[in-house]
Formats: sequence, C-alpha cells, structure tokens
Amino acid sequence: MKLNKFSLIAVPALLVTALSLSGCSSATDTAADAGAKTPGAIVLSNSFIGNAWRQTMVDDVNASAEEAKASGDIVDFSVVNSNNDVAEQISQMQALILKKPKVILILAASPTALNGVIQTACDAGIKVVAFDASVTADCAYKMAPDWVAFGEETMNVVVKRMGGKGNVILVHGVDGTDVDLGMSQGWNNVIKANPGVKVVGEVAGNWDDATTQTNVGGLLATAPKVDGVMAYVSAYGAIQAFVAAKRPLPVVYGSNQGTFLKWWSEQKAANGYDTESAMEGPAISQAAFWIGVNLANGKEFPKKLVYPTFRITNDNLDELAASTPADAFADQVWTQESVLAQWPAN
Amino acid sequence: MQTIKSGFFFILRQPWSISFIASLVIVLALIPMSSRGPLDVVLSNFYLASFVAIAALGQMIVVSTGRGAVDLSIPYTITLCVYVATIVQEGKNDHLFQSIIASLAIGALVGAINGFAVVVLRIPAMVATLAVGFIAQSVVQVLSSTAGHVGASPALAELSRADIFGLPVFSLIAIITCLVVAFLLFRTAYGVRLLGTGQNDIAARLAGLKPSSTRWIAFVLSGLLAGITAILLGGYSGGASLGVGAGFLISSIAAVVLGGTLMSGGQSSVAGIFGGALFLTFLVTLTSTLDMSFGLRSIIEGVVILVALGVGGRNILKKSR
Repeated sequence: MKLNKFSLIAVPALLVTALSLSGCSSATDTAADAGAKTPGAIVLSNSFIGNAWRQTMVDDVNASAEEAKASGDIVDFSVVNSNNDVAEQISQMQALILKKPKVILILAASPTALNGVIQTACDAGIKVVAFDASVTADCAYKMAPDWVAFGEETMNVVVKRMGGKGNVILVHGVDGTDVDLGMSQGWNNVIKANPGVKVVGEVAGNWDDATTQTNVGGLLATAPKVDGVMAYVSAYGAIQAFVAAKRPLPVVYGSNQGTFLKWWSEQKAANGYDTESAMEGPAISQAAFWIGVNLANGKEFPKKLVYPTFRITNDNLDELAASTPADAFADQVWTQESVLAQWPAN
Repeated sequence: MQTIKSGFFFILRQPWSISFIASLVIVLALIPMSSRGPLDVVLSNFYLASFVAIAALGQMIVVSTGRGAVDLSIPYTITLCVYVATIVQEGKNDHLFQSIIASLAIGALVGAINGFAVVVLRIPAMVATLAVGFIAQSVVQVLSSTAGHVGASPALAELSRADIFGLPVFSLIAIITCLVVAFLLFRTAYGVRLLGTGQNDIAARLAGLKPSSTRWIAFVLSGLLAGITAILLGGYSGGASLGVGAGFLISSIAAVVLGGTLMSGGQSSVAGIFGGALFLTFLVTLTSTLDMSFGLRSIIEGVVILVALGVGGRNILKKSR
C-alpha cells in the first residue's frame, strides 16, 4: 500500500521531469541544427568488440572519420559498443536517437530484435545504415556481401582445384547466423552440382582458429583421405589440425588473416602451394561510413548494397603476406571516391 | 578365476570406472564408422583429451575443497596465459623458458586472486571466479589489440607433433601431470588437508587442517594447471587466438564429474579425470562423424553427459565407501 501511495506521487513527478527534460533537449538540438546545417554527427552502434575483426573494424572507421572531420564532411563521430547483448544495444540505440545524429551506422546483435528501435530512428529522421550483420527493418540501408553467391564462388574454387571430385570437410562458423546459413547454402548448391564431391564431415568452427583446429582434429581421427577443406575465416586452424595429425594437406580455401597469408607464402616458396583466399574485411565499416556521409549530405542510395569481398591469389600474395601483421587482415581501404564508384548515388 | 572376478568388481566399484566404460562404449561404436585404424582413432582422441585433462585436474582440486566450489575462470585464465606465453616467445625459441615461467606465474596469480576473493572476501566461488575470469578476459582483449598476434615458438610447435613410441609427447606430459597431482592428493599432507576440508570444513578446522589456506592453495594450483594447459595449447595451435580457452568451461567441469569426483567435495579421482576427458572428446568425434545437424549434435552431447552423470552419481554397483 505504501508503495502505491508513493508511486501515485512519484510517477507523475517523473513524467513531468522527463517531459520537460526532453522538451529542453529537443529545443537546444534544433538550435544547434540551425547553426550548422549540413554537416552532422554520425555514430556507430557496434554489438561486440571482443575479436580482432571487430577491433580492426572500429579502427578502420575511426580513420575514415578523422578524414571526414578534417574535410568538414561531418562534425562528430563516436562509437558505442555493447557486449553482444541485444537489450544493451537497444537501450544504447535509444540513447543515440535522443542525441539526433544525422546517421546511425549499426552492426546489429540480432537480425530482427533491433527492428523496432531502427524504425524509431528512421521515424526521427535519422538515416540508418546496417552493415555486415543484416537487419530486416525496411527503412535501413543494408550493406553486406551476398553470402550465398560468395559460398558458391569459394566452393567452386575448391572443387575445381580438387579436380571435380573427392572428399571435403566443411567447417561452419557460428551456427544459425545469416552469414553461415547463406554460405552453407552456397556450398551445398555447388556440392549438389558435383556428384563426385563427397562431404566426409562437418564441424562447428565458430570462425575461431583454436575451435576449428580442435574439432577438425577430432574429425581427422576417423576421416578418410581428405581432398578439400572449406573453412572461411578459420582456415589457418584447419591447416594446423592437418599438420598436427601429420595428414597430407588438402586444398584449403584461405582466409585473409596474416597468420594464414604468412603460412601460404612460405608454402608457396617451399613447394609451390597454390590456393585462393577471400573474405569480407573489416573495412566494410569504412564503406558503410562513407555511404552514411553521403546520406547525411542528401544523396540517395538503393537500400540493398552488395559488398565485394577482398580476394587474394598467388599473384598478389607475397606483397600482402609481408605487409599484414599476423593477427590483422589483408584488406582494402575505402575512400569517399571509391565508395561512390562502387555504389553510385542516385 | 575368483581373483579375476573380484578384481573386475573392484574396478567396477571405483568411482572412475564409469568414465572409462562409457569411453569404451563410444570407441566400439566409433571404430566401425571410421576409415582409420582403431589405434589411430584412440591415439588422436587421447591427444586431444590431454589438454582437457590437465585443465580439469585444476577444476578437480577446487571442487574437492567442497561447499560447491568451482573455478569458472579456467577458460579465461587459459586464454590469458596462451597470450602471455606467445607474446614472450615472439615466434622464436630464445625465450621459451621465460614464456613457460611467465605463463605459470600469470596462471598462479589469477588463481591467487580467486583464492583471495573466496577466502578473504568470502565471495561464493561461483561468483568470485566468474568475476575474476571476466577481468582476465578483458585483459586479453587489451593484450590482443595492443600486442597483436605473434606465433608460438617453433620448438614448442614441433614438440606438439612429436611422439615417443607412438604416444604423443603432450599426452605424456598430461599423464605425468596426473601422476604428480595424484601424489599431491594421496601422498602428501596437503592432500589430506584438501580432502579433509572438502569432507567437513568445521571438523577440518578443529583438527587443525587450516581450511582457509588449503582453499587458497587449491585455487592457485588450478591457475597453475591452467597455465600448463595454456603452454601446450599455444604450441598446438601455433599461437594465440581469442577463443582458445572457450571450450574448457563445460569440459573441465564435465570431466571432473564424469570422472567420479564428488561435486560436494572431499573425494577426488585423478584417474577418472582422464577417463572423463577421453569420454568428452570421443563424444564430439562421434557426433561429428555421424552426419547430423549441429543443433542435434549439441542435444545428443548434452543428453549423453546427463545420462552418464546420472549413472556415475550412483556408482554402478554401490558406493565405494
């Protein structure tokens, strides 16, 4: 009962305070907007910062933001990270919306859970660019590779190098993500089209070298001769499993990490090892950022922006292997110009 | 005949027997499905189980102190130690010895902090070790972004692939570690204090067994064993990666329980640790050899572990005590 009496006074009091505060802040915001009309602020809501890819992704976008600030394209840029926690990212998004940036870039923790808050942002006149992990909200611009096509492309390379037949091991990423679902679908399309290719094992690799190595190592305990491995970013872990088990090396589709590139370039020098490597590099944040800058300045783009993966072959390998630190990724650098060349504004 | 029979029942009555019997069942199922020889199947799983076994020994020591103690920081401590070891090694052999010392020291330090939180601050072990593990994980993120990735020492990587008469060197190290821990538990005063503390805290205190320092040392030992696991893991994977310790949370606890160590403390089984670790790796190999969806695999693994724990908890025949 006491609680009820208290809430009778407290709730309206809180409401009044909240209303007056929001009234104040929107008043000051419009004043600020009137002062500096075109260049606005851009923010990035990032769902997770705990791995090398994400850390590089944030470093990359910060580098672009410095450029854009220097040239006067934006006035401010900031990054907010959540710990792979949907609820935390939603509340951070709500706080960001109150600050009224021109554009919110988002790497979402869930394809659907953030739709509500993304819609709120769109309704408030903020452009939202979702990249890497897709979201289903209609109003957002979505930048990601075409994972099914990428899966087909990479699997085709492996099958071709295997001579069209043989045993393959598939190493999946984080099960259930749209990236993994898309790539698996692409792999399976190619495998169905090549009856000579037999899948002798599928393991979860979680896009992590250590996990992949342990699980492939376990599979090798029972697997017959393996001719090809499809592992996406944890290719180096898969190779380590073969080395540890003293099994002959199969065709492995590579990843652009320094560890893999260094190993590949050593193998190439020693015995002419030849493969291909491609991945969606962390610089996708730069591409999304420059799209955001152009959206803030009134340009328009299609809602679906297919991101090109960065490909390495024996021809450009050595240079990239030398310049890429072990835990970093060989990647492209996006500028305002190259982004507009790739995705022409309407 | 009588002695063989009684010997058989003696083994069945041991708390660790269930893990080996369960492992045997899986191996028998696995061999017909495998395109490799039976010895190959057993040895390569034995190798993978070695890492889990060493980490689980630390878990076992902590669990043995009783009062529901567990060390949830083990996966993060391992990851941290792998990073520390590889950073000291810098991909060369020159600092191999220093890297081993550094990894053990950091492991022991994390263990000491766990012990401090549990013994002095009186935080329940489950909460304290989780919090300390979270701190270790954060340190790893700082290390990985500032120091970057450097490879493991080539000599250590070489050692990870070496074997003596077919037995991998790393498995040999795991067996030796087991023997040392068994000696510590069953032949030293500390072992008596540890099991006594786990059986009855108050009685142990009245008997002058110093349960507080016993607990503290248990956490330090767990950290040390995580450090040893980390050195081997670094050699195995040729360097550090952020997910390197991730699998050790469930596996270290499951190996302890499957191995016949009482979760309520006071009864340890070193032999069972290896059986439990073997069982877990065989199980993963089995589910990845059978062609089934990942969700189904996890469900089967979970159910099999639950059943094994249920049977193991009853000790097949009857209580050994």
